[in-house]
Amino acid sequence: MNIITINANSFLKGFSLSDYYNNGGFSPKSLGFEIDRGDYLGSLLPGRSLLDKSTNLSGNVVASVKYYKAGSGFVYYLITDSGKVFLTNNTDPINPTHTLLDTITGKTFSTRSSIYSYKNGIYISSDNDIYYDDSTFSIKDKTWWTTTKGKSALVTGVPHKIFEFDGKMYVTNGNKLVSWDGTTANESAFTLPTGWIITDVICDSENIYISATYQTNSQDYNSITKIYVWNSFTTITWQKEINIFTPPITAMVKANDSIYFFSGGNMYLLNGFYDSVVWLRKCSSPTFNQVIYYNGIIYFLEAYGLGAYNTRFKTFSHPILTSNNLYSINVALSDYFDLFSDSAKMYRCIYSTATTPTFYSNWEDLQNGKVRKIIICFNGALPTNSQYTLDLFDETNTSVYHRVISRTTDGAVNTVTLQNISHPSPINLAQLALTFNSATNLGIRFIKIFYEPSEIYASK
Amino acid sequence: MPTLTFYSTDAGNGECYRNGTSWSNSRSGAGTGHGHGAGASDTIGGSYNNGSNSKYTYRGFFPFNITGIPAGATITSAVFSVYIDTIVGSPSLGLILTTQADVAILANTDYSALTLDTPPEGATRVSASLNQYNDFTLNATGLLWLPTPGTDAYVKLGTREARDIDNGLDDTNTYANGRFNDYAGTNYDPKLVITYTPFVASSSKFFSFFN
Repeated sequence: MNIITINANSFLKGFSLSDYYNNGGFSPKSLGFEIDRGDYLGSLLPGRSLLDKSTNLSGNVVASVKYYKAGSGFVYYLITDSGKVFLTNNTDPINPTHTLLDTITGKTFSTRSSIYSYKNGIYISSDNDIYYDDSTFSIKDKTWWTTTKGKSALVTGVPHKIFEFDGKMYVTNGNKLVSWDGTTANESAFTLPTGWIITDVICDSENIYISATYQTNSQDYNSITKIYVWNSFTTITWQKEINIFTPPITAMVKANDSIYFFSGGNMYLLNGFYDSVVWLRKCSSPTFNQVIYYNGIIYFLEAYGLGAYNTRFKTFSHPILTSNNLYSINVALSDYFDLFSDSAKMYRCIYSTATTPTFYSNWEDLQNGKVRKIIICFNGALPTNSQYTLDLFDETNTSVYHRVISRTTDGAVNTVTLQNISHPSPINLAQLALTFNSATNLGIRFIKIFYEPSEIYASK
Repeated sequence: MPTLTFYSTDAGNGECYRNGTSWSNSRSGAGTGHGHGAGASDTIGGSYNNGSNSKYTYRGFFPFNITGIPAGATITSAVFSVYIDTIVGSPSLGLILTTQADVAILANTDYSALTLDTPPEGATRVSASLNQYNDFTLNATGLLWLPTPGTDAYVKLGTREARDIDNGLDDTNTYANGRFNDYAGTNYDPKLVITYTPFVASSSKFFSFFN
């Protein structure tokens, strides 16, 4: 009897690159599972609850920044696509409250805008200006950059990411970086040749990494994209430039001495030592407000929720499944995420199961064989109301075996053994699908599929 | 039998919580915050793990003024109901008696104004059900908490999650959010429905004597 084992080793391999190429641990159709959550690392956990925490929120949040406010602990400042600035108080973490602080009219905000805390002030970039408040929200300077500082309007239609390096605040602005050090505003702190557009910036302790594309044809795979490495001590020169033969980079993350970036619906790795670009996977094109890096995992918004790339195990998964149209993301505390979506929603994603996802194994070659037994080991004894639906599909995508597993039918057991499995015809390719039907369901430690190849049962 | 419905409409209803570095610390001591669910629901029982140094335990407070039951009446049954609109995990809720200081103002200190360990419970514990009123039918203990009919007095009910009552809190996020009287509209207010038997003077026996 041959055995196919799907266990921690499989789960931590993450997605295969496609449903037709078994180079990973399971099918990329398996949306809504977490395989690398803290204490449960290596078990297959169903996705998290999305708890609606939107009361009093209006407008869709395109960017957020965490801020430590004396007396309130950690709070968010939020900016919506309608120019509303909110304070989110998390003193009561189950029931955060949103307070409208200001409404910025006449400006455009998108997920390529930024909100940032610098020297106890709050700065918000719009399509053509920078808003400032001292965080008491008594100033509310809507045209701080153009009027108060007397600088040229920001270039419209390009990303305006605000970031900080070596004590100075910068804002991306077309082919330039503008800067502010608390005293002096400089609209040409760094300048690329005319025609280049800076799309994202990340920093480490030594350099600023500036992604830029010549012109903006986002669909042109022959467009010229570079990552410039700048130490901030020069103004029109840089220390290094790396050619990246992809469309514009929408977001970058620096992790483990490498740069990961999103471009043209794909995710890539830039190996810092060789400056070589490695394609990782087809995914979405998130902006910098739609990507976070937390505990070694890059989380990014994509269709049907949240995708993840574990930089330690080099694996993809999709830990949160939702049909909401997501706008931006931030990290709350204790591995929890806050997702902001359309319809003016904020969802806090905590460790509690709510989704009912389906896990799909890779397509396995059963050698024209027959499945005799399936064993599933859970993270504990099946709790009350737990229920799973198992299907075994053959190569024609027909379910040849269907079974509901539950506490009611199988008892409070840790392991369920499904025997006497019969299906009319031998199977060449098989895919196991396991749907988690209940919020009380436990994770999975392993699944074993026992089968006999055709030569064996034919000889019998 | 006559029935009267009372609503917990004083500002003293709401949630109280305490965050601590451990569940033990979170469970005992004065609260660190409270809320009334203005425009939203608040947490009537349960716990929330917000990081290694931030364990939150929540309790619900529901003072009721039950003025209106005629003097001499006998209360035969009472049902406390709270509308639950958010459930995380599988919370089981217990009904307890609090000694909150002021029914008009909920305070952080009210968090510990109750019997912490092995408190008398006024009803069978209820497994929280979503988007509906959850009913606690008062048992003999709970009925004794109700003020004597005919008096202008409050009963100060409270709710706690089973693991809080039983000193068994852990890192599992388990809680229920209920709607207090500050929630928009009046269709979801916490309520206490009391059924009673009016006082019947022994006059019938008096007249029967002459008959």
